[in-house]
Amino acid sequence: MKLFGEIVINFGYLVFMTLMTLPGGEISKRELHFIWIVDCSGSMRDEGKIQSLNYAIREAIPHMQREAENNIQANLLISALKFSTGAQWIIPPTSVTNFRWIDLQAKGETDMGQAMILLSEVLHIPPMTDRGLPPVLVLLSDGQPTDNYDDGLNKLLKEPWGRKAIRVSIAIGEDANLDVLQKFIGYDDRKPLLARNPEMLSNYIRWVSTVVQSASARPKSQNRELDDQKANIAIPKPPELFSNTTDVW
Amino acid sequence: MVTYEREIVMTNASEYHPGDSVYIRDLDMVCNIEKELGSGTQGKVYSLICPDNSDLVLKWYFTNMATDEQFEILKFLTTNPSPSEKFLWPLAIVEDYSKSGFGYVMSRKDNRFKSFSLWLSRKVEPTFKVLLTSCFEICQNFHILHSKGLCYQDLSLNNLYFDPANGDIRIGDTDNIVVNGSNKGNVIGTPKFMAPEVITGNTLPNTQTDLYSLAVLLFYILFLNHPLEGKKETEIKSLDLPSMEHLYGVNPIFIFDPEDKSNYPDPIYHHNALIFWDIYPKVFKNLFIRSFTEGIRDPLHGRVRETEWKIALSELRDSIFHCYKCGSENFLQFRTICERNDKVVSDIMDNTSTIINTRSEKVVRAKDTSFVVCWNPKCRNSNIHVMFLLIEGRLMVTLNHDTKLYSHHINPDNRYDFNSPIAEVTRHPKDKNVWGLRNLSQNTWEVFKPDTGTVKVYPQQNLLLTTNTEINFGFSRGKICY
Repeated sequence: MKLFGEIVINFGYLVFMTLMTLPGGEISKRELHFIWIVDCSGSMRDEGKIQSLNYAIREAIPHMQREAENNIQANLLISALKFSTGAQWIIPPTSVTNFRWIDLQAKGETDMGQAMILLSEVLHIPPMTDRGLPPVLVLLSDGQPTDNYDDGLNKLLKEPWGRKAIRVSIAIGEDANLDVLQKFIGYDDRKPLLARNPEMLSNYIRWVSTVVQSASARPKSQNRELDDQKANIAIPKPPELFSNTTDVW
Repeated sequence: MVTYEREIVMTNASEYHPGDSVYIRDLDMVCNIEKELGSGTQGKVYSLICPDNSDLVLKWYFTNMATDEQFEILKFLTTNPSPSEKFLWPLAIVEDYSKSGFGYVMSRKDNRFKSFSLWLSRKVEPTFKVLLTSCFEICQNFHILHSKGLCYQDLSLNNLYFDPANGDIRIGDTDNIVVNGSNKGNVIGTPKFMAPEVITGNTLPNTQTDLYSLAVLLFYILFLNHPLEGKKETEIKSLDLPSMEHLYGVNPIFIFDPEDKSNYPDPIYHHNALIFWDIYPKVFKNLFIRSFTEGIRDPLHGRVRETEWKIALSELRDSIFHCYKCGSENFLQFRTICERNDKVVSDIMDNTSTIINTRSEKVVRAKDTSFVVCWNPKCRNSNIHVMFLLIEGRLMVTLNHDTKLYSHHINPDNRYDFNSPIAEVTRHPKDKNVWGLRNLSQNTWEVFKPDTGTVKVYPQQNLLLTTNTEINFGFSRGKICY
């Protein structure tokens, strides 16, 4: 029986089997700020644009969460800023899993410059982390700025985090000022995305919230020809969006 | 051989919707789109409902990605068999008159396969054994792929899936696989996994750069950290493309480079690397040191080959034992003593081969500072007794409750096949405290015990596990040590 005794010791750990996990913890992640900058001026009320936008962002959230789950290096924080008469933060940086969209109402002017100033105030360290990924700024607008947009933008671009940010803009409908949205992006060969109808808006919002998010956080397969050597992040080209619906809002 | 003529289709739609029908000419089957599974940089993936109930998915390229070159690659892949069942291989090209571009169908991976990102985020908790099995399978299958003269080009954690219960794997995104050196394909890799010489633009992906990517992803899986992310990474405030190019391409320094400590792990951000570095045996870690020092300096000759990884991973997997106090998985990597037989098994892992010193000498444990202590900080048990099987002085396999022996253990000429064990540790059906080794092979084992002499163990019979038992498996002999 002595031999059996030894064997009992040898396999005695079985009791603990279910309790043990491997050491260490989650891989250390970098903060990735994703900021919606939304035009809530009076004209966004026309043809249900603001409702379409609210709906499209809600639709994009689960896809964004799924994309973030596969993310090995980013801790995705989403916030939102609206501008109409003045500009205002409406959702503070929130972890993607807890992110809930608040439906926006449209009323007032188009103080886009104010929004840029508000952005410039947060895009430096602190409150930004000194261990981050280039933030993603998504500007959605349907019209003309009514305040001093250039000053606001310059202030934003003076901040290193503002310059390094991936800046994407979506024009909602044909009336949007594409020059202004182009200035926000900065690079000449990347164009503002023109959403001519609700379906396109929904597709673009989905694209920025998943593909662009992951371009900053989880760099995907790089194409042979880099889109832009000056760019600090390679953004995949937006998918061509074809639609059978008429271009009517 | 089926030939394809690419038809030019000019339509205004490149997307599918649930319920749309898809005709797959080469499988002579009409399927329906079930739903969209995901969208990437190259296209969208949809699940299909098939008339024969096969589990297929369709990848449809975005128009700008549906290039002639991509079509040629798919044509090549669909006319060649999959290197193994682990690859989610393109089965047939799909074209559709009502859509622009083209796509292909492949098998759908089972739900039990999860992304490795879930492990890196600690949302699943596999064991060391599972992780090492996955790593082994990854090396094994890329070895098969490379042996066929093919190159994957975009090896990264995004394209690999594993079963957290047993370590089985699936390899996705196979549509960039090309003949090595053909310089075809749309992608050059995923930044953190690309070889430095690809990042700096000195070469295009090839099998040598695949070997680098392989080492990166093994390190990621086993150390939960990138091999080049140490102090230098913490100094970067915004990790953008220029800084990544520098960190991973222009000036890559291994975090555990024995001669250059400038990129040593930061205890706050890279604690995983420090914790796991202390756990794995030295000889195993040496492969990573070589991969990220010599392997960076000399891409052609300095990189660790898949066969080396396979041997090392398999030996490491065989050396797992559970601490009897806390149950944690540890690795047998030290001088062990068969005291009861006065035999010394020395430097088992340090030489990757085992030498039995038959002279009757005892080694004093206290003198050996590397003597094993359980890594679990709450345990630190140093009273380790491990039962193991020593095969021909060549291999050592620890005997745990779930240990299985495979044909490569008893015959080094046999290929690794974790699907058909030849022996497994079992429990006595009546006395749960008695453990045995069941003969799952077709051969009868001859067993010699010092006190009882020779007995035969026929297929499906169990042999009581006691020390100093010698088993003749047919191709080789093993001895049970403790």
